Amino acid sequence: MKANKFIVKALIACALIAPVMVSCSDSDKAAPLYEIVVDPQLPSGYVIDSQKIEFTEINTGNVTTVTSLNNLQLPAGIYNIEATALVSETDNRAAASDQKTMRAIAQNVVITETTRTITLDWFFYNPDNSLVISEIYLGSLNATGKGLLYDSHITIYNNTDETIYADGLAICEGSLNNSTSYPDLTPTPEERFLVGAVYVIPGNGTQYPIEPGKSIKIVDQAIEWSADVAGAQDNRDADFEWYDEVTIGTVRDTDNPDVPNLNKWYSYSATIWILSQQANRSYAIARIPEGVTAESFLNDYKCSYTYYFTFSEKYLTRDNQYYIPLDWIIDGVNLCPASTMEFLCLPPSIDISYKSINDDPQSASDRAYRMFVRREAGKSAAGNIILQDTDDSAKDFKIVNINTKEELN
Amino acid sequence: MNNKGITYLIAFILLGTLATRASSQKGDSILNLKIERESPIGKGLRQYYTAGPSTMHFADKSSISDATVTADIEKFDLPVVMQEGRGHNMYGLSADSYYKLSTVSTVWGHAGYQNGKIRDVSFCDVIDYETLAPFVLCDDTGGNLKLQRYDFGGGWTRTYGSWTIGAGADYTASIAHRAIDPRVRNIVSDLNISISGGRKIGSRYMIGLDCGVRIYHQNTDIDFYNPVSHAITMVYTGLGSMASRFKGADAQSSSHRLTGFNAGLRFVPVAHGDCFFASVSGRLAKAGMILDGYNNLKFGATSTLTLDGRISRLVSMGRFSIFPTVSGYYIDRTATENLFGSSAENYDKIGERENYHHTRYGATLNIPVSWRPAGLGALITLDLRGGLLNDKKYLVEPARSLESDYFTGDVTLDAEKKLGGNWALGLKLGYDGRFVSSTSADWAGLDLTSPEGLMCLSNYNMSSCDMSSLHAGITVSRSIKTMVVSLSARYERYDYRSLTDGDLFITGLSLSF
Repeated sequence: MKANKFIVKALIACALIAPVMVSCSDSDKAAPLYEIVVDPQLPSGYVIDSQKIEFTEINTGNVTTVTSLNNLQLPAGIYNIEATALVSETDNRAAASDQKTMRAIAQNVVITETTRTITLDWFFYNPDNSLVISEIYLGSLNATGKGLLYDSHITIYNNTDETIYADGLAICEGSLNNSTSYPDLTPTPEERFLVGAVYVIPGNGTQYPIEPGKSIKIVDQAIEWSADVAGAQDNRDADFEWYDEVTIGTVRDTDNPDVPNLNKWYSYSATIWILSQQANRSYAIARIPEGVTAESFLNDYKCSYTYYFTFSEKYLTRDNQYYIPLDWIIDGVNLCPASTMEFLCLPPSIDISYKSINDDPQSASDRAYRMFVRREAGKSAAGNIILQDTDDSAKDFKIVNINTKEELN
Repeated sequence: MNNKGITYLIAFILLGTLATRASSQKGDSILNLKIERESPIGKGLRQYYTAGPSTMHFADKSSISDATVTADIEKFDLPVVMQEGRGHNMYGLSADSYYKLSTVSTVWGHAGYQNGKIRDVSFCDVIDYETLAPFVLCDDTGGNLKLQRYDFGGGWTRTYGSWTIGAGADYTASIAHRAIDPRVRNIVSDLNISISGGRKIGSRYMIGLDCGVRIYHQNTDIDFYNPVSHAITMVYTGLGSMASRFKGADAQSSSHRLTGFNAGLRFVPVAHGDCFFASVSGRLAKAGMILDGYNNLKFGATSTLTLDGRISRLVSMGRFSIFPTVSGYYIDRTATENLFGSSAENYDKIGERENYHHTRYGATLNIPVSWRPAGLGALITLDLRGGLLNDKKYLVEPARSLESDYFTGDVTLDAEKKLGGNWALGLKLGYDGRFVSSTSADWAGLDLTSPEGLMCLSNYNMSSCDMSSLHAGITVSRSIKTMVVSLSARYERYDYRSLTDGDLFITGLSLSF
């Protein structure tokens, strides 16, 4: 009897204890949320019209997407941040077509109870960008000091995080002069890009990769110019060179057998083609569609252009010209000294402005050693440098001394 | 310790037991003892007495030692739980001894060795998955795991007047490895120590209090012999989620450290007759996972709370005995992941989240009824069991959950008969069923066509379908002078409704004295 009473008491005690022990176990312990302060480093003169910011917590893989930074709360963690915004100028918040795209990338941002501030460095971003012209160098001063050497180059940069092949890429120079006025020009730059030179990178389609964040250098003559003239460039490191086989006159081109030659499709020059030493032409890189050959290009993309020549008060027509369709163009830049600027050979959709090598260059020495260099905008999610490409060469490019790397105005 | 060493140890225990025996028991009494021990009611009774050292003195009426060789072969067409493989071939050698030193003290010992393989383990590069889940290294290649296991244990108990004290310890060492890429190698050390005290209440009962500690280590290393192997090792965090930050070449070495505490209270009779039995126990185990390749980073830890209780009553009615038992259990596991800052700052801990939860509870009613028909020298037992179970797993982020409710029903007919010429025959036939009464799954964000999605789906389908099994066993024993030789075989056939079938075959040869 005594034992049975004890048994009953013990069972009752267990029945009372068990639920307490069960209920003592923690319910879901959600991670605490912290109010986040975001410091947007927006360029002056711009306001954000709309934005989308993605916070990826590295430990858990959780992604939080917001469209407003007001009352932003996040749990503790370490975050990679990708932000995209449409911005417009403070004094021009009119059409959506005037909006520009900006991006901000931040990596390994730690959020804890004591660390809750995030800085977003916004940079201009072209959603369509892939390959861009990153450098144009017109030449160093020659030994006489009165002209430029042919140690010029164009550099093409992969502005994405994927490998892009350079095979079939065309380097084109505009046939019209940005220092000349062409009233009533037909076709207009909005219709066609009239070209004076088309040189195409060879390859079978996958022969010449450009890795993300890397570039290729295309030169006139891949030789060691610096051996002959101090301050000139050594272009033996070029990836490609353009070579003109000349059979007339005394001017000859130089062919470095170790550097692949571009395929010459068209040049206005009967001898050699050089980059504009007056720095007043437009340059573009274009992707030649599959199936278009040099022969078919010369056959199918021939045209004429007409404009009103004010001096003779007549319309002039130039036949046997060639053009590149605008939808082939990947990137382009108008070059012209500010003091002589008259015309933009490329339409605003490709370059809304122009870049001046010097405000008023009077001689070769005012243009020598000055290189057009595209500005760095930021870094991609993969850590590659993103070059600024807003289709506005006046802002996208700077002038740099090729030897000292000093930024020049 | 190598195979030779364990063989010598087992032989030592056997010889030692033989040498210490002052007088030999007749084989017939050993045979009777074995029949009692292995009957369903006998097993139920022993479960109470062997739960802690202080009551071990009452587990058996007399000393007995066994040396056993076993073969255990299980095969499934598809794995029931992918992390636990598709069956095993395990061969073992063991020696057990239970020896009454006097009327007030008892010692017991055990040594065993197992060798074999576990088939097609995948998404788990550790052994003892059930103990360590969910934080384990894993890969989606998988393969057979070769396993060797050594275990030793023993204890002592003594009565001083109304008081009883006892102590016991068990140690298990395991080595496992995989012979193809990813080449897994696991080393496990598992130590359990318990102390126990009891006091007699009245003339019939005693109450025992047990306390114990468990210290468990497992080291895991993964190697690739093929330099271009495409397998990637990852850290599993439960329900198809992998740690996004830790994978690949640096996630090929881990350690698990488990510390557990347990306590139990038992109420058992010390005299024969119709009696009550009761026990409650609780265990709390914390297991941490350390990523050795990330400068011994503590990735996270699990905390498992286990509560169980049972109450029984032995009722004898002439030639019939009945031992109804009501039991219940509750297991709750929570896994907490640490959140780390930049690798440049040595992955300093900046937070944590309790993201994985696994809760199981159930209650069972078991009613074995035994009958000793007059003049037949037989013991026939009909064992009926029914239960209700619930199993729920969920993640907080993403919000995935799996839950199933079951009811179970088992019926087993067990018959033991002593034949002429010192022979005994035991037959067993039974049916087990698990029926799902409700089930739900929320796979938020999990691609069910991905390797981890298919793994989760397979495990869930197996756990949420009806399952039945038929089992049959036979034991033939013969007493020879002071020993009993037994040969047993058991076969079980599993059927997971239209998903997979499985077979289990266990055979053993034992020598008892």
